[in-house]
Amino acid sequence: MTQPAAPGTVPAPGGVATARPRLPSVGLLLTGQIRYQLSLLLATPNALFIGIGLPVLLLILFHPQRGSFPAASVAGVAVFGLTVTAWNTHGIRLIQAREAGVLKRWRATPLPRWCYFLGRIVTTALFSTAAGAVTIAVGVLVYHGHVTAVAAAAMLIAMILGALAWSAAATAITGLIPTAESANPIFMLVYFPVVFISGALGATSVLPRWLTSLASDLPAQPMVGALTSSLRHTAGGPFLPGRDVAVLATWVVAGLVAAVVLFRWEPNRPAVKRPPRARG
Amino acid sequence: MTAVEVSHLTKRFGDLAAVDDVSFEVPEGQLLAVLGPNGAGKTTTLEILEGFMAPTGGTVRVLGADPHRAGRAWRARIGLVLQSTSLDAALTVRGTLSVFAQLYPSPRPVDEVLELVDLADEAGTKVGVLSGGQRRRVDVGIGVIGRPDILFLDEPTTGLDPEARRRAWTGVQNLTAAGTTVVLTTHYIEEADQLADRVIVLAGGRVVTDTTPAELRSRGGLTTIRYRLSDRALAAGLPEALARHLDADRRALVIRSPDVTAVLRDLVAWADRHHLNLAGLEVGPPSLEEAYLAATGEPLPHPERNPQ
Repeated sequence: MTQPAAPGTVPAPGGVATARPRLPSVGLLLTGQIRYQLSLLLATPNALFIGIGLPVLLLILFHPQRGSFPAASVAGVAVFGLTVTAWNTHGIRLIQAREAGVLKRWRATPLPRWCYFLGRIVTTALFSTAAGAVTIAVGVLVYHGHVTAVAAAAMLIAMILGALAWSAAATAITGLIPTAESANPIFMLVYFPVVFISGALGATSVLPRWLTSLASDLPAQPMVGALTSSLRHTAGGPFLPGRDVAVLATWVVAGLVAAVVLFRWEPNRPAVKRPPRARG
Repeated sequence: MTAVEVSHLTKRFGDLAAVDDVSFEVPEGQLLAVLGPNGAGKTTTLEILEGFMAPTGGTVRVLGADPHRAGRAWRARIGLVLQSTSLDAALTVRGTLSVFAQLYPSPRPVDEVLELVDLADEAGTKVGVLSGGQRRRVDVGIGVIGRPDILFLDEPTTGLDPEARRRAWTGVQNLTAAGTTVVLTTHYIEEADQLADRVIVLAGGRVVTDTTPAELRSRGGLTTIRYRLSDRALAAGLPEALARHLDADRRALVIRSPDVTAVLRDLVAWADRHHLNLAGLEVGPPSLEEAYLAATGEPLPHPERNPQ
């Protein structure tokens, strides 16, 4: 029977316990993982188009004439680009990677599982926040808006929280989606109602009160509200209302907890059935 | 020292016992080939050894640890190549190997791995545009980049052309020569014959044979005479006693006989009468494939119409 190695040592071939080189630090691994995932995202043209190209296109279609600064529209399309990246792009890519066996390959390495998991979520949050920021910057430049440093910081906080909330929730829901083929319709089915009632793609004045109340507890509307306030410089009002921050932070925590519970590393395993003898 | 210890391993999926009371050990430095038909339990066994799933019953120790509960330090000593290639397509070959190298405490240099898997010329190519065989070699490169003490290879040469397969075999032989323990599943009998120190045959989730390739071959039954007929030999016409041993294509004689002397006497007499030489005539023990098929209860690959 092989004896377990003493702490800090491992039995080398031949049976003599020797000190092995130290494993790379988790900080180094997490940084490497974020860099790796970011390079994969940047090499995905769809992610760039959906996250930045489409929102800018929508903004120009909504406001072809340059007049007064359309703060609500700029905030809305920025939230649309951010959330579609953090929810759809992130979730669908994760399921595709799982079904292709890529996650299983990573799981077999000495990379701590949480490192891979967190690396993907943080990468998506960074990428989608950047996508939202680029959309806002384009809106401000094209329609001659003005953003103070405090407003910019408030928007950044709202976008980072929102991006983390959406990507954590998307990570959680991947565990319930069986195949890559079924991912897109399921993600869309959840996504569009939440975004429509948030006011990101149009006014919500026609919606019943209970629906707007529900929207304020979901992770899109608080972002739209915070970004709109910041872009309008609403006199006397806070750029980042405490309630919106609390809602987004709650979604981040709930999303991460659900993701830890529901996340699956392995592709769907077909029912195991021993084939009959092929010949004879 | 023992690298792998498997004792009364059982894995059930519902009512089906995919692995049923399997026991074996692999000493350090040995190359074990696990053979068996589809559904025999090869991959399930390997996935339990790799820590992907817990057994339903029995115990498994790999490098002294329970694979399902082992931590990072253990994972850093394990290399594996999964049954299907699973790589992100957007990075280059070098980029992919570099990313995985960073996970290990003392990785092989990327250039050394590129040479080892014969992909130095494709180092700057994106993984997504490689052929299936080349991607498989990237997978093998990832498997060995951490200088593993034990390497699990699940059908590593499936999809490779014969030349690439032979190069992969050389790579595996180099690793075992350096002391790496290797557990390999394969459908290719020739692969097991070339590489393995030992062969386990699984069928129906159970070990039906655990032996060396030479011993397995010797259990395969009768001595076999093989002779591929030239056009001249075909034109000469075989006597009935020999003609009944023609293979399905009627181009080769495959004779399994307890009395080799008598068969050879008939064959040589016929060749002498027709002034034929018997170039290419083979007389030898049964092939590993024949022995494997005998062990798993499968029919022989070249059915004789009138076997002795």
